[in-house]
Amino acid sequence: MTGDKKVPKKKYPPEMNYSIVLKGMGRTSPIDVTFHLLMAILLITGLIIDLLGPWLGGWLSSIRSIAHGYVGALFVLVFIVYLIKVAYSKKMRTVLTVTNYVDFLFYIILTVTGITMASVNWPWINLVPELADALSSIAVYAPAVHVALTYVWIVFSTVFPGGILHGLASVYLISHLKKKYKNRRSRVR
Amino acid sequence: MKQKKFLDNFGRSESLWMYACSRCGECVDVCPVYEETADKYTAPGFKIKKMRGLLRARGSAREESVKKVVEGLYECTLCGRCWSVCPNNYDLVALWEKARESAVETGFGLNPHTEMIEALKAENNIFKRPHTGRRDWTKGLRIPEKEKADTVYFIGCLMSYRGQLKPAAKAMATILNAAGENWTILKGEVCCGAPLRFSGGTKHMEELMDANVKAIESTGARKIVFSCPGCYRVFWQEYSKLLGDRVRLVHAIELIDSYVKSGKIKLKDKTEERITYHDPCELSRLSGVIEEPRHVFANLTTQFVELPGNKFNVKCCGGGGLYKAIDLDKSREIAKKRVTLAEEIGATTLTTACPSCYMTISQAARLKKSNVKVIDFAEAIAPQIE
Repeated sequence: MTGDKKVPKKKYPPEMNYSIVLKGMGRTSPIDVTFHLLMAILLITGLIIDLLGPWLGGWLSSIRSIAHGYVGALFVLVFIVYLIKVAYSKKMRTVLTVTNYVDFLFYIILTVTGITMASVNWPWINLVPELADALSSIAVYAPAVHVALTYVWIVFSTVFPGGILHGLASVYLISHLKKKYKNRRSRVR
Repeated sequence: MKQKKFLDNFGRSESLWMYACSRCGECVDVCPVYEETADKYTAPGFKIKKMRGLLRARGSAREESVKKVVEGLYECTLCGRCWSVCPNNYDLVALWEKARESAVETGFGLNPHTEMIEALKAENNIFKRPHTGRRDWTKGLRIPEKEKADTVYFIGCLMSYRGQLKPAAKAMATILNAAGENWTILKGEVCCGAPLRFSGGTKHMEELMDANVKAIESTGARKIVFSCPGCYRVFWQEYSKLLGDRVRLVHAIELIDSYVKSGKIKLKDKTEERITYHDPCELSRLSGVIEEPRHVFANLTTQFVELPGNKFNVKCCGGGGLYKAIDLDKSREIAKKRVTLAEEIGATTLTTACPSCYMTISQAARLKKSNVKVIDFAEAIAPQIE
């Protein structure tokens, strides 16, 4: 328990807007912010590659290898740290739901298939023949699984209260409360 | 199938919050009740998770599940510590109050609270004591009851009916008289309605508010002073809509601070008493009155010491949100921790500016057989006036 956790003084009744939420998240957990930010980039770039690929011309390769590929590699590292954090944090386990854990499973499969697809571009992969063999056996299915699973996850996590619904609700709530809280009564000094 | 209607009063904001909660668990970490009970149903984030489940299940929600969640909702001091750490800054205090309101509306309200709502409806006070005896505490004291006055001292239920608080009310009267204030208590005062918000009986508030507003307006007062932060908060949040800006609302400690600053009261030479101060959650965190008491104590003693876990981040004494009516033992255990902290910093006197905190902490100190003397802040100040 860290009951003596200090936070910057706030004003009651509270206000809510994007700046407050972002600062709050950054203060609470930089790992969470990075995790969410990277995931948003990966989702957007992934959808761009899949849906707009034929129209991207020369940009497709850059988006795929840099915006999706390198950001994806960074995401893998952050995701590992995030999972370790969950494993060691009783408070997080208290509030996470089954859907959140299913979401994590989706991310793990997406991560593995993503790594498999990227592995063909690793010059050092032949130095580790066992890994190369293991990845090559699933390499054929990896792109299809990666793309299909992304859409399955989007549907799953919207229908059930998973990541997508959480994101949509957050954006809508902040926009809604930004207006509502403006008319609230504050203490007159 | 009353469970189907539980949380039906949730508007867009509350319903969206069920999904928008960032599930960081920060609130779990700081909740004083969860720290004491270790029961996850008392953990704020877990309650949100369960309420989300109930909202989704709707038709198939089991009565037992609703009961469990409702019990958790009442095992809370409404201290707002969860809100203070929420990265989204969502108004969790209002959320808990709204959920309790739904519990009462759907018949899931807990007995001590529903009884209290009935008491308020019958006698206009939370103790079911005769309304006619509300001013009995004034007997033997020089307490003005005028038709017209500049300032109204709003006493509140606790100070009106709890004998232990009489010295505090007397001290406050001494201070108001010393400052030359043209003041009165209200003849027609009834409960402010804050306990109804805490218990979930909000819909009965209007009647109480009307009675108080009428009584205040008849005096022509331009200022209302409160000793109870609960009354104070409900006034600036709710009554101010009816009273408008023509009436100034101040907590007693703010008023005393202004007296000291303006020289309206002069204090004797500083004592060397080692005094500490427990910030009431509703006054500090939820109303922003933090520096004023410190300024007063700086003029009162050379030995003011800060209680750890204070100011905006104050740890609740365990007496808020009517929690004592649900689990008196746990409430006292929480309060004992505050007394222990006061002992650890070597304080001889522990003051507070809330009748509920005073009652809770002083009982805990007695049970603990502590040497720390617990008094209301007004009792610390009144004897020091020149």
